[in-house]
Amino acid sequence: MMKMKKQRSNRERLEKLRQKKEKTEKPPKGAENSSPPSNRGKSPAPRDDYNKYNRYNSYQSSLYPEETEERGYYRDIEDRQYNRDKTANRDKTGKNGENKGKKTPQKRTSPSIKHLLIIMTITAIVFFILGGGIVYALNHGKTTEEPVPEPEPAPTDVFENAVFIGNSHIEALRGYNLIPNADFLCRVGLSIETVFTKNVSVGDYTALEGLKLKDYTKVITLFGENELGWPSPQGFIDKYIEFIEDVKTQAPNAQIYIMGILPITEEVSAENKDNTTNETIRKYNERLRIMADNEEATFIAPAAELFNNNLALEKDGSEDGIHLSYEYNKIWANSIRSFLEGEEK
Amino acid sequence: MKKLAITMLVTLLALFSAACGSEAEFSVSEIGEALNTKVAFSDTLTALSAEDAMALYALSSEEVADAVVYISSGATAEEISVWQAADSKGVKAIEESITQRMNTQLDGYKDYMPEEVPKLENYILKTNGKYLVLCVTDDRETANEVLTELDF
Repeated sequence: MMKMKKQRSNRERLEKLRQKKEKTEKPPKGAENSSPPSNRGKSPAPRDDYNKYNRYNSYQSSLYPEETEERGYYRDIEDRQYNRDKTANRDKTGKNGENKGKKTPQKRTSPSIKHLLIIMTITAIVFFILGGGIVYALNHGKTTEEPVPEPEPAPTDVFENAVFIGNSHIEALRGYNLIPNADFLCRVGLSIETVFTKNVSVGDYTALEGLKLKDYTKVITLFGENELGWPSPQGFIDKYIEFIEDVKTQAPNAQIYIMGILPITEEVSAENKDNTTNETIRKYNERLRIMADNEEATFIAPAAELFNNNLALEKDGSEDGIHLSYEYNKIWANSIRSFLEGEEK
Repeated sequence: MKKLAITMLVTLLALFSAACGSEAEFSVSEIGEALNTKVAFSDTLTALSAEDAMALYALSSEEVADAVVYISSGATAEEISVWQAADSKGVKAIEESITQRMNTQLDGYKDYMPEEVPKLENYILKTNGKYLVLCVTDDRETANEVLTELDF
């Protein structure tokens, strides 16, 4: 009990000494914010004063060795308060006083979290940009926008808006698909007589009816092989003129081409079946050429490549001596193309 | 023993149902080539691509998965056409198109080459699943033998 009283009286003495000391020594002007606290709840003292205070405490300790533990307790509290206030002042003013007057955040974030947040933000931006790029690439098929060169206009084929009308020779051209851009109004065995009545192989309509399906600019015809046996060649020509007149009506914007009858092999010509000889063919072709001139049509003579030295079809050019093989059909198709291209130049 | 018997029965049933459910697969080009080389034809037939075959028969890729057609130069009415339909609708469309072409050819050759009419009147048309084979020839016996060997 006595000891307790002695300790209390010592504490009161210590407190009085502090108060007396504070009254006698005023802190230097402007040092309030950077000085350690003199005591709990009081204004911080300047650093020199604090050192003095420490020296004083050491002195006290030497005077009252039995009070060391309690005084140490207060000193710890005072030290912690001093360090807290010192840190707070450094945050307010900045390392070099650059933050003076600026608004100080209430909560401080540890540097590692700050770094983490920055890294996460940058990563998010990078992913956003990359993701956007991928979505764009998926939608547009390209990762980067490149200037698309203007496509060059495809050269116009001479067989655009062209139609072939005729017999089994024309049917072979269609079947082999050697002139894919053209249309075909043909039929096996079609003659200049049956062309007015028989339906073509591609639909339930005649060739003349078929001309109405499109605005043709070229009508290319081939008849004569099946008419070589007719009693009168003039009958064939008269029927052909009648047909041309109908074509002009059905396809008023079309140029009409009359193809000459194709040569046959010497073997078939020698058989002379139904007047089917190369000699008859030449006579018919001469009549067709004159008819074409008179009807303002264009005559296309059989290509020179189809003939041998005896002005007949080569033997290997046909299985039956009349119908062209696939290879000779190609030669023929190319010769027609060359003729039309030459005409357009 | 009983378990073993049940397992074997189930396996057999599974194999049987699998065999019944699967559709035969053929190569249209192999069938066409087999017919062209083994069957006797008067004319030299020329093979058309699937695209040209569809153009000739007025069919499209909606109906046709694959095709090959061998045509004559016009010297005869002989023809081979082998089709793989895209689906069951395609099978019907191809059948109709073949029938139409045969009628048109018959009508054309009737006046032009009457000797070709028997070939066109007796054309061979065989179907197996989505596959259809047409053969117009005088050598029908050989054509049938070739197609029987190929499960048609």
